[in-house]
Amino acid sequence: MENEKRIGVYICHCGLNIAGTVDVEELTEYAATLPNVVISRDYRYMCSDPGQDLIKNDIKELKLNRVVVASCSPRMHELTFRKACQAAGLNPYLYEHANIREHCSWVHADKKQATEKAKDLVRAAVQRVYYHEPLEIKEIPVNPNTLVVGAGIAGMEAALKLANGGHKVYLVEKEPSIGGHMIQLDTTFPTLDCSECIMTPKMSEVGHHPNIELLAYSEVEEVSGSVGNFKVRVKKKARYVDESKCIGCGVCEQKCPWKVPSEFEVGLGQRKAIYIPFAQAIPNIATVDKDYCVYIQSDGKKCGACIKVCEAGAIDFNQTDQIVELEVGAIILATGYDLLDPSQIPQYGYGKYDNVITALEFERMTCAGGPTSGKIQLKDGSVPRSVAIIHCVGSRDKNYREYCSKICCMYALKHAHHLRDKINADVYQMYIDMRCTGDAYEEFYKRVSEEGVVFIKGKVAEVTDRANSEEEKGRLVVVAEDTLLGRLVRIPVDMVILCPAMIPRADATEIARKFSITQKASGFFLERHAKLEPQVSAMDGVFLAGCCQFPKDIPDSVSHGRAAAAAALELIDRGSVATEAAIACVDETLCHGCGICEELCEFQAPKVVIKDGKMVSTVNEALCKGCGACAVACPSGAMSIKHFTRDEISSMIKALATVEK
Amino acid sequence: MTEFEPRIIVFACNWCTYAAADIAGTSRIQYPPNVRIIRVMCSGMVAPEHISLALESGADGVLVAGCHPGDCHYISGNLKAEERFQMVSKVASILGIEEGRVRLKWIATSEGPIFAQTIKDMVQELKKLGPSPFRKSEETGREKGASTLEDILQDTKAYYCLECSKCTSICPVAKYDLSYSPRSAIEDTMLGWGSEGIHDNKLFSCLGCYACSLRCPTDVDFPAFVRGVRSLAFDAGEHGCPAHGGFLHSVTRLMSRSPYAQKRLEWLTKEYRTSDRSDILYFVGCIPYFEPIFGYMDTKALDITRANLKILNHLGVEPMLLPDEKCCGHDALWTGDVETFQRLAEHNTKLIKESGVKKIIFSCPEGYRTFKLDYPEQGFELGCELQHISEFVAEKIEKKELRFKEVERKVTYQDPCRLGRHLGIYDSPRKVLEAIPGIELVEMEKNREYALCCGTSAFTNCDIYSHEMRVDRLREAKATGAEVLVTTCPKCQIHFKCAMNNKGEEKGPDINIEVMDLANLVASALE
Repeated sequence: MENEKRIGVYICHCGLNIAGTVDVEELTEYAATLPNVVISRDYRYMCSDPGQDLIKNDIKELKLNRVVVASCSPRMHELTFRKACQAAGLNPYLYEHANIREHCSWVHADKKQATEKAKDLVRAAVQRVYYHEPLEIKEIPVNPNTLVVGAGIAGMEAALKLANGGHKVYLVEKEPSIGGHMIQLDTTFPTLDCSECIMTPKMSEVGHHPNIELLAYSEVEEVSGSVGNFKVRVKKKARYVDESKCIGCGVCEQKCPWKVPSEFEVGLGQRKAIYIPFAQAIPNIATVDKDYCVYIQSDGKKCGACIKVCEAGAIDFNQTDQIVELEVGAIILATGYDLLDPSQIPQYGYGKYDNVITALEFERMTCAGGPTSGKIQLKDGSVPRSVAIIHCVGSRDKNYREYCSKICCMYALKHAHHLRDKINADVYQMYIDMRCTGDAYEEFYKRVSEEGVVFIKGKVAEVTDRANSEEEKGRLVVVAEDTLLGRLVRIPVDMVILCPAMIPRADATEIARKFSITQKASGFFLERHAKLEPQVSAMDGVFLAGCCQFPKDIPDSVSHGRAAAAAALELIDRGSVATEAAIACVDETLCHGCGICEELCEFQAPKVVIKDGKMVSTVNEALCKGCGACAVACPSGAMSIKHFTRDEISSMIKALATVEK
Repeated sequence: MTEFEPRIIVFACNWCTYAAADIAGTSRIQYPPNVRIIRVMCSGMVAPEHISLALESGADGVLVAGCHPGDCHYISGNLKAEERFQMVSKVASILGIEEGRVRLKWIATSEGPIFAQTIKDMVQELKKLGPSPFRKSEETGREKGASTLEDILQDTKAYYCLECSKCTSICPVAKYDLSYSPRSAIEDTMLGWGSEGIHDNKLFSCLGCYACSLRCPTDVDFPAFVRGVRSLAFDAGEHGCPAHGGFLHSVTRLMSRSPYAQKRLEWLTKEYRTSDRSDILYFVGCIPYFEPIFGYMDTKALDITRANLKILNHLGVEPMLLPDEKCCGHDALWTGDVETFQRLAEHNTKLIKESGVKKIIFSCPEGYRTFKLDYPEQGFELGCELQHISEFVAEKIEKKELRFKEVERKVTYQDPCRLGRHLGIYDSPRKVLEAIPGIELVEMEKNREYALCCGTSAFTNCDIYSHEMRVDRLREAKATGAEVLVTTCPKCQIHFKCAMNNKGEEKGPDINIEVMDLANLVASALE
């Protein structure tokens, strides 16, 4: 008979994991008594090949048209059994899974009660599977272009892997130049490679790659669409400099009279209102900062020095922000990190004392191309004789950030090395633990210890300029408990370097919203699975690279960026993506186009259109995620979610909530 | 005697709570076996009717659980879940159901231990509250299939049908749904449509508006016929297509079986005077439930009730209000759920008899009609006079006991089916409108006994045709040039507001007009 439902039920023992608590024989016999059940079997390991064969054979020989497996969590093996059904010619959505392990045998010790509960769960699955309908899985073609947001080391690595493989990449970078934080560093641990030396060839490669379209000084405004077919609107901010004419000679910057604190130099140095952020900038083009440019602020009445001195005639104050529409199949977010502002932690004196600086400021100081030309010096220009480096400023602290920022112990060692090497200063490392987990990291720690750096295990209570003794007068005093000695120490130093927590970018929430991804409690972007999918976000087609997902060092950022590229390649090479089958659908005899669904949906899937003169909602199947929010709100019941229809859910509720009196 | 073991239903979202329960399993954290988990993709997929259905089925406790705000896999599904849950909580509290029975909690993937603890806590709390009164027990009341199709055809005079199709020509449903025909429904039945026919969804499309009776030459009571057949359909498990997921019907069923004292008078403030010793009862009806359920449309349903009280107080009446009156049972009766209707009727009849009142005043024509016609027909005798507020006010106007101040508005009037064609009351509301100085009443093209129904009855089969009917009615209202469409039925008002509740970018025809209950208009005109 056409409408006859023939259900096969399979009870898994899972070795003793289920069978040790649930009476699987009793359960199998019970399942056989349920309406429409044609066959009920049990087996030791249903997910194994012979287990799956049981299902496949029964589908063929017993003409089953519905299958239920009671075993572990569906999050483990629903897909496995759906594929088994599919292999035997049964639509994979005619399958239902009952969780009698994680939700039953593993959490209830009483065998009788566990068996009774298992019976309820199997009964509910059998009642629900009755209402399942075959669902079509549609494949839509994937756009082979990729968008990479953020051109730090992770973003650049991702872009290069894709581009070298022959695929087109749009690389969007907020700042006037690519390079991220890594280009601000002096050397990198543990090899002490010059950061710029290893990075600039990459930056050059990115800047000249035929497959990479670089949109620097640009920001993503809006994202729509879904995996395989995203539409991204990017705002190219006006530099007021014609990119095609500017040769990056820097004369405009020399002649510009208006000085501004340089973001690249982390406030230690200055730039001008028209500037190239650093010598190796790519693109090597000047940018006018409209907030400080007097010509712009005075509506063209004052200054204009750059216009006069530019031999290439590249200055163009008529420029406006441009909007560019991109179409891509995959998106990689590599937006990086910020550092916690230590002035939030007043006891360390940041912002109060001149010579308390952050580690990144110190990087700029030791960098030969930096504001002090590589000289380590105090605010007054003199050379410090002793320096304290304070670990965990804001990290590992429930008052600020609970997590460990991973890289600080290592760069603290690096700074210590440079302090010993360049100026032979006394260095005091104020640490809680030394976390040197990478390749050659522990060896680097040993080397730095051998260089005479003093390690004091104690979280610093405060940095003060109030002297308790002659020795301390005019200096900064670091107060801590040396926990290994068990006594309080006061160490007078000239400079204090703080290792601030790595934090998500200030605009992380805004970015998350634009790309429809979520943040973890820490504010970093949430990955799909902490262990197994760190480079994939919960949003299909949006991948994560680098520190925007969580603090990591350079090799890990490189790996992460390349992993994101591989994930994007997976999509692109496959060429098409399967749409979610369990999505919303509209009963057009009930829908009157009120638009409540359209207003509610976060993914812009339902849209009210005029069809045959009537207003009716239509669902974009590529965009719908099947979350169900619209179906609940639909007043007439026109909207329903396939595989989660009223009948399917209410059959489970009745089966599970009914308690025989 | 075995200790009562509560049954808890958990709606767990796939991405967070279901995973948390899995982690509790992997970690072998033990918790009581009282819980049954239903996996949904998002807590935003949990509809109000899922929660009420779980309670109806006998669950002692229901837990809706999902991702923490900010972590939803679908961005804001959990926030929607929270809004809906607040509404269900409010309805449950009006029903008198203990707060601990229905809960919402955010449980993240990593919070397996919290999941287990939540279950343990809930089991303890429910043990103290005791078993749910809605646990399935032996059926009481009406036997299934008490009426046969034969009886129904006889009682409603359907056998007299001449197959002339005059009914179909005036039927508003048939006008929009070209596949619907009252004549063919009767004809099919008489030809032995029998048991297949009760599964036809169109059976639930009849609005019971009685337009057909205006034309029928032989006294066939088609709406009663449909009602009868629907009771057979209901026994066979058919419900038509309930709107709003069937939540309203579910709430009515819970109410009918509930031993709890309702909290339906929380809105009653000291400015309204009521008395336990009055001869006059004001029947509030389902409005305290409509207020939260239709809150999303900004329908301030309770304003109607407040206006009625203001009018009665102004006229020197301090009516009795029953704190535990239940739904009149109109929708239950009209969707074939005779058992629920009988429970409700029995309860209300008992309370009214005990109260000793001599007159009941209604602001809802459905309640009025049901008490006046259906209660006696089903054997529930009230022994008191029944009136609609418009009749009461019209009488006072006649006796010159009521004066109004000027309200300058041009209005038109919708005759509700249950007040008009069912009970023949067309004049009283008009007398009231005409008595207010400044009110200009302009009649719609189809008025009085020819008034077009508002499009939906018993919150069932609310489809595209219902909407088209409403749109046409609103167009008619606007064509009169009136600023306000006055009704005397809270349901009509809800349905008209729904038609105007357009949230999409595509706006459709301009049908926006202010809709107001007569009581609100009168209350604003009181001196």
